[in-house]
Amino acid sequence: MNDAREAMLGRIRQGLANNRAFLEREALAAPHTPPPFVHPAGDDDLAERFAAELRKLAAHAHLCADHDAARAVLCDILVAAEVRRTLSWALPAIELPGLADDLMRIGVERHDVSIAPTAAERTAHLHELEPATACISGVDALIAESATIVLLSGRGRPRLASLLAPCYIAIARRDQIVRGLGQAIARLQQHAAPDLFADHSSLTFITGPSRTADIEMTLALGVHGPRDVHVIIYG
Amino acid sequence: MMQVTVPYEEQEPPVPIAATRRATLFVSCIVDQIYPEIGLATAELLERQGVRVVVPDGLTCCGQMAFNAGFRAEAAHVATRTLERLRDGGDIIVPSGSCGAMIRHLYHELFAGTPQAALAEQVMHNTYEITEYLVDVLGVSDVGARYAGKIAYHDACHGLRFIGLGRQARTLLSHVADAEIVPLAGCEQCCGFGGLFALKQRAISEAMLADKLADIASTTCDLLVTGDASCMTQIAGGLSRRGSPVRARHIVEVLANSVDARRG
Amino acid sequence: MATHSIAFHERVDRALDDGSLQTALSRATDRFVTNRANALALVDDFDDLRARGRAIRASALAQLDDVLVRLSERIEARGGQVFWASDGDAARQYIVELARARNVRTIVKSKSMASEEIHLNDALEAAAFTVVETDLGEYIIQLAGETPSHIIAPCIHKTREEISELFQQHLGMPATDDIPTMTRTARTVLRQQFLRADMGISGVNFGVADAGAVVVVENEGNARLTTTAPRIHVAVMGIERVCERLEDLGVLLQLLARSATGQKLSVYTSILSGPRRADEPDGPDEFHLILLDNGRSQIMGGDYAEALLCIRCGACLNACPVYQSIGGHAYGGVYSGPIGAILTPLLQPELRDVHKLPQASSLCGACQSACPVKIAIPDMLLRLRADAVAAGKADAIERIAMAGWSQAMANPALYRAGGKLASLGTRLLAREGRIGWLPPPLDQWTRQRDFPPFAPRSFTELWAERQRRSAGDGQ
Ligand code: SF4
Repeated sequence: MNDAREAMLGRIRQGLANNRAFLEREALAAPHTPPPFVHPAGDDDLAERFAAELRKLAAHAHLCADHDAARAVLCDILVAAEVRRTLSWALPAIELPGLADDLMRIGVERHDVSIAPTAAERTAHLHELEPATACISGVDALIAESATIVLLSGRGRPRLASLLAPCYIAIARRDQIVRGLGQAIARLQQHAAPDLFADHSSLTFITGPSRTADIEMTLALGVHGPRDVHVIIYG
Repeated sequence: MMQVTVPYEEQEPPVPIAATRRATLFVSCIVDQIYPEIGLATAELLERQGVRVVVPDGLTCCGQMAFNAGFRAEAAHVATRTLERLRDGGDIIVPSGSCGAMIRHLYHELFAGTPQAALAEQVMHNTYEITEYLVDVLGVSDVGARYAGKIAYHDACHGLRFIGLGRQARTLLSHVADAEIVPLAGCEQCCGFGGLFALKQRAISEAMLADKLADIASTTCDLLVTGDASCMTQIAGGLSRRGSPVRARHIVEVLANSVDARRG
Repeated sequence: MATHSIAFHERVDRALDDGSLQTALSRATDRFVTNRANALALVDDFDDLRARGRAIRASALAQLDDVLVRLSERIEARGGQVFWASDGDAARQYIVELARARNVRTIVKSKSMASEEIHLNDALEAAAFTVVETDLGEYIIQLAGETPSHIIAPCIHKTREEISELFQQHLGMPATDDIPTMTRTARTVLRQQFLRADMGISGVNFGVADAGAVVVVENEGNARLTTTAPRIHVAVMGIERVCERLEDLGVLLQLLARSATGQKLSVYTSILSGPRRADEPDGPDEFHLILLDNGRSQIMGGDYAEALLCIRCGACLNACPVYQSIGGHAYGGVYSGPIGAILTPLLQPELRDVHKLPQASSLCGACQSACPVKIAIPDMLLRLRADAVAAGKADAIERIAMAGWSQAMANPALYRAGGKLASLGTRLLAREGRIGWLPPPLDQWTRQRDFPPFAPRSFTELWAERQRRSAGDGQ
């Protein structure tokens, strides 16, 4: 807290004395509740819908019958991309039994993220992580109508494990899919009541590969974050 | 087919119908002084629908030019006189989405907290733009017009965005016999008129006009139609300077068969 | 290029004469407008969403004092620090001192209009810190020593050739105008900065009071890296950029992405709530939120409070025919386009010709139609014009003309006489029914446009005559 706080609040209150009535009128002019989803809903299958939307974003969706199939797809992706080093969530958080053995079998090293507090250690660790060519994470939800991956950070759930490498693979269960953003937020809040952020410093929505159109409005993928995004859905 | 249009002044006055409706016609300053044909065409359109048209003495201007330039006292000085003359006028018809928007949208702010506030509200509620009045109030879509040619329609901004015009004009034009309505790309894009903007920001206004003229040139139209005499002046001025064969007309001139009643 | 020291008219002329700017502008704004329209067409009821967005933002502003207190208390409870900055000076000083105290050397930044507004980079560089903009567009602008020309696409005024030139010069990139190659070059260079940086500075799209969190929206991933890799995260937020509850994002994020770029959601939305928790493997150890006033609380009390609803999507810029013609730099301030023509005179009144910005509008209303929170931009531009006149900033010639005009228009006899005179004069100037030249200042009209002569007889006269005739016939 600093001295300016009271001064700023005082000025705001003074200003509101003139315009609060206007703002309150506008605030009452429409409901505030978010729609559960915003696109017309058919009787479409949510996993199919998610996959179709994700493909529009030049990313890859893989629908699998069960977790064995999911693991197989994951290994195929890693092998095809010649991935040697990965950065991932802690394996129990991904909830895909048998994954550790599979990674070992195909010769993929898995690195845990564990940033230390001093500046030098932090930089050294980041340099250690940088050569990884794939990130692997679970998800907290998927949003079908926008093909969005929802992730909470937390114990065993590094943020960098969906960000640092050029290839990112997210693994989700079919029952984690909701139709719209409104539903996703409602579900998260229900699960983590009363305070979603008590144990999580960040909530991230990822919708497709990193992209930019800053040069002549021409789309380029993978500018800072992952260029290749895969979502494996099983169950 | 040759089409002969008799200038309005020489036509027989329409047969008086047992008029049940009375409307006050406020033609705007620009129509009064530069395009009287538009005012006469508007009156004729109304009379053909059995509306008795009244034009109060001494009506001049809605005050928009000064209001838009930031000269509110000057605008109020003029608009107050106009309000007085429109008092008890019943339905008030303007052949301009822009003057319509000034009265309906901006008089509220101009007269807020003044002795004229109540009168302004009353006038605001009674004011209609001509195509809106014909289609939405009188329920007409075919006014018996004929034009042998291709028409492109430009949505003048104030009418389009502040009083929701566009649909009405298209309905009326679609019933003009022998006319083909051709689509105009960017028909909702501003022509660059903007009142004093056209003078004070000449270069920008010219650039916007150039875009509009390019869009018009890419159609096959021979007639550019719009609902505001001011935008029509901007577009016509650009067309004629570039030697374009396309003519620009106010929509009421098409609807009243008086496209040939004036030069340019 | 210090555009702000040049007269507004010159900036406009330069922009209109700049061929590559014109190409870039029309390409960019066309694309934005089309993408937005396509995205909106898919939504069930976008107008309903807009209405909710407006109500949500208005509600947060109506209790802004309380909302800010709630936001700051929650963030502090999570171990974050909140600094209340009355103006740019205070904010700059706080950040510089913080960086000094923590032995910071390299600072990475993701896009933040608020930090542009307070010229934060200048202050940090003056204090000898290395500051690197990491949004690709902002990075290009930084290399070129320029300022952004669009809220969403900061370097839309530059061609790929110009950018290639910059990269060859500053980054030693081999000659190419291949956009993926340029993008990869930037990625490689900037990645090293992320790994080394001690502090990351981001903007904020929304502060969520009840969640004690700030939201950062982006497409590249640079903001995620900025807010994750360095040990200190500083978020700079204008005090008006708030909402009350996390649910509100279910409306606001949808509006923002579609209005800004036509996406359903932006690629990355980071909702950040303080420093990393004890058992979290990464994230910043320190989190600082700067609540920047810098004139906003003044706006709150005046005639322009509605402008505070803005969510900085840039849709009004893309929709504006004036912006499409002159681009962002001609406006001279940090914020350009229609909303810039309102915010710049209010937030940066010291800039040259700032009172002329509200004149740079034909009042066509396309901005308001595009705005996701339906801000009545044209009405505010009109008010700003009235303010400028009231402050005596109108040209003498305009004042005289307006006084004369209002006398004539309010007095029918004078009006008729004036009309007669104009009719006589214009008909003398007309050739074949049109006027190709008018004397100054009306020559501004006739440079590229003809003008019609006034009618020989006004409507009023013709109508009176018609009434007489018809009365005569009736007898
Ligand atoms: S004024 Fe409206 S359209 Fe313009 S940037 Fe702000 S929110 Fe977007």
